[in-house]
Amino acid sequence: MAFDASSQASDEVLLVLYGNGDRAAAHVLALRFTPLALRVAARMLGDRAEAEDVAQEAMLRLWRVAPEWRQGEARVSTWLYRVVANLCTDRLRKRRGVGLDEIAEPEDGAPGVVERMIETDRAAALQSALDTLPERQRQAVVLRHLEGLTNPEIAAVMDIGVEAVESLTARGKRALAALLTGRREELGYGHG
Amino acid sequence: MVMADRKFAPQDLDVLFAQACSEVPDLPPGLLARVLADADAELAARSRAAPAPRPVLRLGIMAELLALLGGWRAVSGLATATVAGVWIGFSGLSGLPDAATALFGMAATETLASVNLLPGDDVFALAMGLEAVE
Repeated sequence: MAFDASSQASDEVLLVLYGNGDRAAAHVLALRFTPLALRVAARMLGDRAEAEDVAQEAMLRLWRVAPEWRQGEARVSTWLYRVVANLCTDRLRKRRGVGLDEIAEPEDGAPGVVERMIETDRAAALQSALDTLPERQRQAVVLRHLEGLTNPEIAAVMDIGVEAVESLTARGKRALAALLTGRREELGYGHG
Repeated sequence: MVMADRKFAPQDLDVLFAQACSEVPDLPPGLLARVLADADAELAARSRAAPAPRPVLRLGIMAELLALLGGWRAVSGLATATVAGVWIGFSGLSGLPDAATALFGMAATETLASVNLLPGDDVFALAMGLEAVE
């Protein structure tokens, strides 16, 4: 059976087809899920090269689990979020986070350039602040506010209760706000 | 006052999150190629690891037949009965009265046709005797 990137086949169907030897199904799955894995890993690790390694490893595990995939037990995306989060946690435990002090200071320039740099700086500031959060808080914040998962979905990924998810995201947001306080003007928010 | 103004508000965080969500990182072609190469390698490894076709079909049918007939015990019983049937068929019925005598203590003159299968007078008398005692 041939698929294209916009195939309407469900993730599970594609995974089962790949498990039965369908290469085309693997192509669609790779296009659907590699960006997800890369995005989450990059947010969790703050390092693009390492995130690529994690994304590749997570996808490899998806290929390996395909023949034994039990339909209806879990969503493919939830399973992959969990694998990526675990791989990132392993790597984070081997190294320390990067402090806010290491964020590059914006340079002077023309207004358009300054705005672009502010945007870049905001992204860098957010990433650096995320990097300093405890792993579980970071994971919950990334999944909730950057991946848009619901609290029950995050609970499934992290294997904890919904209340624990709410607590982690709330504490994570408070910590982020505290970390970014004092950089408000610098990041272009002004006095408003 | 100044500190309150500088505090990072929840709405400021929401702006940061929204901006971060809109920045979708490009999928590096090299990464996609590696992921697809892994997928192909897994398929190839699986096909190599798959056992060669075994001559299980005949054994499978035999096993199914055996199970259908009730297992080894039932089949050996059937085999014994078959051999006995063949033996009787070849040797005829002349040997049977002797066998019946040996097994059930019947007289040599009795045949299967003369055996009384209904309760006889002795049983009836025994039943009547029991009623009398009660």
